[in-house]
Amino acid sequence: MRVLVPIKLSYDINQMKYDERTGEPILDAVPRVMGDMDRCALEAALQLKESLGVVVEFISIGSRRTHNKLMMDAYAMGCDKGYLIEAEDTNTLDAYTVSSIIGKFVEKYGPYDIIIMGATSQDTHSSVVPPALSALLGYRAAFGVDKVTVEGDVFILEATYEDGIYRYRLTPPFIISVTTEANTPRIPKLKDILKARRMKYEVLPVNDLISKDEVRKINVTSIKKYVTPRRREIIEVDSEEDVDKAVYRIIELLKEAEIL
Amino acid sequence: MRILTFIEDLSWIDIFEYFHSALEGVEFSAFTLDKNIAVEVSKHYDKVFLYDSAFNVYGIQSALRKILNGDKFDVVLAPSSNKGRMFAGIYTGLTKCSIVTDVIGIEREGKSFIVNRLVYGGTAIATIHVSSPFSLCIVKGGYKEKPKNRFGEIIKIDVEPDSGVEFRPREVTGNDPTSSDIVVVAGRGIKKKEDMAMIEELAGITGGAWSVTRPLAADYRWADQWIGISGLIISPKVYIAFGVSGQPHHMMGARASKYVIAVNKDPEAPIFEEADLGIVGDLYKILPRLLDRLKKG
Amino acid sequence: MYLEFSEDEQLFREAVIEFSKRYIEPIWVNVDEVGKLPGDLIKRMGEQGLFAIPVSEEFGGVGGTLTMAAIATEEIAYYDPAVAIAVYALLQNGWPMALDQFGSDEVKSMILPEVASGDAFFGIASTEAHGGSDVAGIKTFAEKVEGGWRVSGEKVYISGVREVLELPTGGGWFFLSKTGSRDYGHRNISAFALLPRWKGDVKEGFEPTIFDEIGRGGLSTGGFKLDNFMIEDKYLIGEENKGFYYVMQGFNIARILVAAACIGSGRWALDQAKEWLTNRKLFQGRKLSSFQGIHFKFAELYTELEAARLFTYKAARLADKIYIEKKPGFKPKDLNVPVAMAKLKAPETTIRIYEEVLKWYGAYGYTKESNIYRGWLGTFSYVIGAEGGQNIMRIIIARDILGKENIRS
Repeated sequence: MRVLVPIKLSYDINQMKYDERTGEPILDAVPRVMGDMDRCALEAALQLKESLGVVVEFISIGSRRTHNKLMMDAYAMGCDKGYLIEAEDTNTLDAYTVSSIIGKFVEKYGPYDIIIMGATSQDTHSSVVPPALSALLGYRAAFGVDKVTVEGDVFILEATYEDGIYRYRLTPPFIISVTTEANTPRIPKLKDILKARRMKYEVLPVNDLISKDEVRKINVTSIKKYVTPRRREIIEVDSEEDVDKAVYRIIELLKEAEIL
Repeated sequence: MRILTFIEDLSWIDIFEYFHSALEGVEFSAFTLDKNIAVEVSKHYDKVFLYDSAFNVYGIQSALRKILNGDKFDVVLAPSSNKGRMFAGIYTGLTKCSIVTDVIGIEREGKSFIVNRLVYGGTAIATIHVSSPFSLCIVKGGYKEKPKNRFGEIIKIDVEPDSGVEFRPREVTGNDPTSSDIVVVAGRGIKKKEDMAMIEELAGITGGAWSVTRPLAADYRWADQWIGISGLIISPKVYIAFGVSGQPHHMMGARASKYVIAVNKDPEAPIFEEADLGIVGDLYKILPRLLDRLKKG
Repeated sequence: MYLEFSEDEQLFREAVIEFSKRYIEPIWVNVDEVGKLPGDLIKRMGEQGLFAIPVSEEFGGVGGTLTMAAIATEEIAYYDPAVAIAVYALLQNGWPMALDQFGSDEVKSMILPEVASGDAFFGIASTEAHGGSDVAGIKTFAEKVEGGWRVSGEKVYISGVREVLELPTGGGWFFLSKTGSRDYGHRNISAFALLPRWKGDVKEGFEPTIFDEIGRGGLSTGGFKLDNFMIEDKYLIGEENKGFYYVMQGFNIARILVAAACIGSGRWALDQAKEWLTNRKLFQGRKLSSFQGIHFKFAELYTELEAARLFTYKAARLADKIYIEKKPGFKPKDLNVPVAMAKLKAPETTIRIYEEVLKWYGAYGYTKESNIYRGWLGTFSYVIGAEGGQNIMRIIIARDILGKENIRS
């Protein structure tokens, strides 16, 4: 069985930096990392490698310059083969374009029995590429999975949504996306990192998969730091009287909001 | 504009109506998975597609394929919830349209539209140009409009659901952060599980619900749901947080709250940036005093 | 240039940080309090590849570099500022590397895989009661007998005594003894791999003791007496009477890692201080950090620590050229001054950091609850003299820069 894990190099949103004057993000100064959920997707695939002997392949879209470490990271975790679809400015590719690139790749280099993705990317967290890809490929699917178990040739996938737990029983081919609840990703061992340094990944130009006209970019006119319109009344509590004052203000606000 | 909406629950009718107007829609269709919702929705839509089934991806793929055989849409609207994103994502895959999630506003500009969406964990707003066809996943917010009366027919879509899907509804505990006027939220500043009693007590006294941040649910298992982008998106009148630092992923789930109150020891906690009332102090002093005052009336 | 980590070094650093957050940060206080390293942590560190990093793969090592060992030590020390776990890691990188450089293939393939997996300990045993810095004055004597050496003497302040007795396989030390003659001097010292316990009971003629220390709880320090203890021929490291030469190189390697442990712990202390100083308010709401007397000092210590860090990685990069890449033109003695500078600078800076941070914390710093003192006591061992006293570092620098003949009194 072949398993494909598409991974993304995301901006680390916990380290976002904004220009204080314009409120625009300074993306060059923000470190890029493999998203937590992408790491869980790799872990889920690698656990299948251990239990069922599947071959784990991974794919990312980007440039060698920016994505080399990401590719090494996936190899160091234990993946068998990596593909980099070479494209610039990947963070402006629209979700359909990303899905169709992966979809075309699957058609050309597949078949893959299982596709595992992170439920959402760390920076844009749209969560739409996995469902779009499932529709493109016509695969059965389960998204936002936080538990994967295998019973014979049936995969049991549990996902928790707002209204309860959905339990899917799927047989390949299928596509799933996993959350950080699904597993605890392994930490690459130094030996494997050193080995990964020597492992080659295949680089494919994006236009081998889709034509230039099919590459659609998100037409972003501006990005600005989000400042919520809030009152921002701050009370610093240093003494007993301050505690009373704080409690008094909380109660006042609860009254204003007609809670009390 | 022919618009298709995915109605997860009835609270979305008013919100989508606002977008119907903003998009200058002319034909309104809805898609729902629930018979009762379909009946209610049909009063305000031209057409209601009812796929009477538990949510399942493969079934929705087939249902949408069937609908798209006869009907065409310029815009699809869905909630920015788990299911809403899946619905819009599947639609996008089937029709190659563009998609924008986490939408918090829209404006017409000539023949196209300007959409505002949250990005980077909700720390920034991106303004994006879209022209139809497109899908939007919308974050609950202040925008609402009274739905117009229409008389839609309910069209049942018969497709086989994915054979292997079982649904176990969440236990009804009476604690529902998504539909309460006030939500009391505990963060890492709460040291022990026993202390959650104070949080629950405050929710009880104020007639609201309680919840937690992701680490408390996922790592400590003190709750089975949390507020945040990967959990619940809430829009109460009051969100009051104790010991919550305000990481972007969490705040995205709480930003639609009318008032934000935060109690935290750390004056640098990002939550103070977006609080209406911020208390820099020890929650173990403030919360008991607050409970005491409320109990005394 | 020295602090630009390569992509694999960055990946490794991220892996060590994740490991330390998961398995070390939650227990470091307890390890320091109870004074014992959990066996499962040692095993886990072995599995993760945190021991024998700069040891060739051929002999069971990880096949990495000393720079990587320094990265591991620094980051572990950040999450275990009391440094017992960090020092355990540094010993299990430094001395296995020294053995890999100078030992025989037979002994290396026996000892090093067990050390790499965490099943055995391999440290350094040179210090004797007369004073650790005076290596030439050791009294332990090994007498050549048929098939080996009969050794008698006593070593003190030796790390890992309990670990040798308790780990699954056991272990021992890079051990120094006089051979040939008992005279004062360094031309009659040989190095051995001393293994008092290896896959079985403690061998005859080995009498261990454990000392109680004020800090760095978790890593045992003790001593042992050897009474006609037999060491087989194969355990002689390198050539007879060249032990002093080998051990000095071993110290150079280990000192780089000692410096790395200190800067990791010092960085933790400054990070704690940063939070404290910017949050604590006095005199009607003034932040502590707003006092010039404090923020000048903070800035100075921050700068000193960064300097120590640069020294440390500069030395590590140089050591890699000499021992790992074996580049022509790079000699072991080139390392003396850079290492001495790192070992001089890092522990002293870290102790100064702790002394200031403790004062900034005021009475709270003096409580056990603040945990700051744990880092202070833990790293203090390195200004006292573990892996070479501070004045020895000054001597090395002065000797190499000014010339041996010009510094004699």
